[in-house]
Amino acid sequence: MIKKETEEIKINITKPEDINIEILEKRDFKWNKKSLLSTRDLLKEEIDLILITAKSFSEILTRAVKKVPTLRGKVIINLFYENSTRTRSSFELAGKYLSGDVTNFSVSTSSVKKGETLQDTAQTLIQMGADAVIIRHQHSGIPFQLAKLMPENISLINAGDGTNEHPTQALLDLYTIKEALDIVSGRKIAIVGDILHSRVARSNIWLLQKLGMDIHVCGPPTLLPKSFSDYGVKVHWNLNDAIKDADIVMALRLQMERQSKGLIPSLDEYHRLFGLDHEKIKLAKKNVKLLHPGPVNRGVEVTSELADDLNYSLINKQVANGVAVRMALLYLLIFAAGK
Amino acid sequence: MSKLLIKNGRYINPKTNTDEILDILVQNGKITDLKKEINLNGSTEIINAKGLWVLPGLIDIHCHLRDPGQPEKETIESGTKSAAKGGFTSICPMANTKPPIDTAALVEYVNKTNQKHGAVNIFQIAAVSKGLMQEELTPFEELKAAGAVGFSDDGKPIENLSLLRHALEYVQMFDMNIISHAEDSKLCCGGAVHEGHYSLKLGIPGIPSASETVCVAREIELVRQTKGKIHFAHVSTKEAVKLIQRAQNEGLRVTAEVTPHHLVLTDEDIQDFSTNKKMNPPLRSQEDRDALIKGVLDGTIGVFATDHAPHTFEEKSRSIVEAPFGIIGFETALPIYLEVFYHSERLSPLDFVKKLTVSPASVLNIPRGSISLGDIADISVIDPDVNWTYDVNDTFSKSRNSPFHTRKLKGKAIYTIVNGEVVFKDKN
Repeated sequence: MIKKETEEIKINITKPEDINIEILEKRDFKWNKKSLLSTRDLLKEEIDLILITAKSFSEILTRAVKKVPTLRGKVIINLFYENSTRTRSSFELAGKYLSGDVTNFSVSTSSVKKGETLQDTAQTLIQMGADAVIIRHQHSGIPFQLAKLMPENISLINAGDGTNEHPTQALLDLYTIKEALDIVSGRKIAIVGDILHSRVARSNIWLLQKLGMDIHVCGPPTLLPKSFSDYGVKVHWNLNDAIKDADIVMALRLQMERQSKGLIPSLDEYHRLFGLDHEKIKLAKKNVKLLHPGPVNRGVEVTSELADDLNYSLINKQVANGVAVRMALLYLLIFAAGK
Repeated sequence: MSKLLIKNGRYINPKTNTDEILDILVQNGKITDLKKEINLNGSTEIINAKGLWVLPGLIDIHCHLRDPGQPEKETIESGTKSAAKGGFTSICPMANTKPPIDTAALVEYVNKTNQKHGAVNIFQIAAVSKGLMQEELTPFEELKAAGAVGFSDDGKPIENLSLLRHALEYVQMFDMNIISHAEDSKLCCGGAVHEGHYSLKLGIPGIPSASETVCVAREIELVRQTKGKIHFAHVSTKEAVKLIQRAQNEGLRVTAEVTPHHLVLTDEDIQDFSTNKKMNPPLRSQEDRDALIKGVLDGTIGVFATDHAPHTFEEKSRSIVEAPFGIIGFETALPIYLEVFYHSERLSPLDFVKKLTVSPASVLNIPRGSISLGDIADISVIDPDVNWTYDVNDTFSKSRNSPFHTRKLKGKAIYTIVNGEVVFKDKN
């Protein structure tokens, strides 16, 4: 029994590494990034390499034994200041499939209140021997502040900071979009929802712009100031205009507190004006695809029927692709950087 | 008491509109002689001020010394030493200490502590409302008698307009000023930086310009109603400058101050998420910055202040949303004002010095700001042209929250003299 498993792992060892070495050798530029904090500073070549690497890793997810030794002996710490099941599990599995040692370091806000500074946390991570730190925080900018306190040989991955960025989500969204469309340049995507407070929207805007997508954003003015057009996207307060002839529609999760803060009058009205359903999505291209970063508020930003309709919905694929993209990023940032 | 002779300096005294090379003799804390050439024998301490400016001691009418209550951030001792190093001889700390300065006993505490441990004069600002709670007025007369020179709930706006109206009325008995921290606390709620291009780009909760502007507008109307007078602290928006200018043109008794950071930094600078660029009001847009400079040049904004606001390293190590507002500023204010207004040739030395001496003194009726014959010898001797690099670790403040660490500066205080005594001397 034991012997058989070892054999199988051995077979698995060579394959993806071969693929990746091949990829790395093919490229005509050097992957130098140790950290990923934002999609803003990604080069087009880097984006391509992440997606190609993710493709080769996605195959591992379909195997009976989902493990390769690429990151054996590497320590990956999930530093989560904000609760998250999906993103944290996705990173945890990605690290484990690559044989990294993944540990969760949940910082309760109370210990921060007791005086633990970011400097203390940084020292702790360094002393623990982290090779990579995956950080999520409820406030914008913390990964950038932490980056200044850490040595450059420790990889830092932003897993969502406040309302600023969520770069790995955007990359997995792009991966999913590329699976659905053979060409992305010039194609129309409508991002619908609370753009103002969305790190997913921001990371996607910066990323998809680099690939020449025609980006339309849509939501009520309280959640989508007109000045968003300064960033080269088209702003719509009317859903029909936004999704007309779209190739991709991305719905964002609406935080329930927006109503209590007076930003929208009711969830009903929000759903009536900005909720997606089978009827409204007919305005988009015939084979339009629906994305959502999850978890879905069914009946608010999208109806259950549409979210579950596999003719449209790529929501489940996003989850699977998320693991592959994060494997690719861990591999590239921890292992391949500088090689 | 010993004699002090300051020789060959460029004597600039806006009060008498004088700008010439003069010698100054100081005896028993007063200026006892002032002429082209003073020569004395015997035990006289001589400062050779050749190439230096000899000015009335600089006055800062807006700072926070955190004393009583928060010695981990600053004390009267550390704060006044830092002020002296920056060239200030008189400072006006705000009342939002712990507890707030809302009784005569607390003003006396500040003054007695300063007599014992302080380096420069303190002219205390007292709270407008008891406990800064915006319900009842503090005892203005008692506070004035104890030494308070103005009233402010700075740190927070007075949302209770009825209370503010009564403060503006009552204070007229004493011909004193209410100093306004103009902001609408509902509009700015939860914001950390200026609401604009960069807050939107970086997903940082914003403080809209309207938060300041609506407050300035409604308080100007209360001045019109009450015929009182108000001084607007740390003006930051172009719209507020316009409103203040209009009010002044209408003859309303409205004055305003600016801070150094709003003149050299903008919201573009917050892109590194540095909490040492988080202050209230926030760093505004380039247009706002330009309007502030214009407001100074056309006289709308008459006073240069610092808004020195120390905070601990631990507090400033939090996220930009959670970290407290404020930066230290005593030791960088003078060179930054010189950079923006003197080295750029926007203001003459006389007009420049006025904004740090006569103007702040007149807003709060502080008996300083001039160095004529017979005046109290509060003197700042500065080198306006010396190049140096600011290292925040050299500060006398207990805090290190400055956005200007490693910034190249031009000009600084060389001697700071209070009551005829040298309280600071630059070591180079």
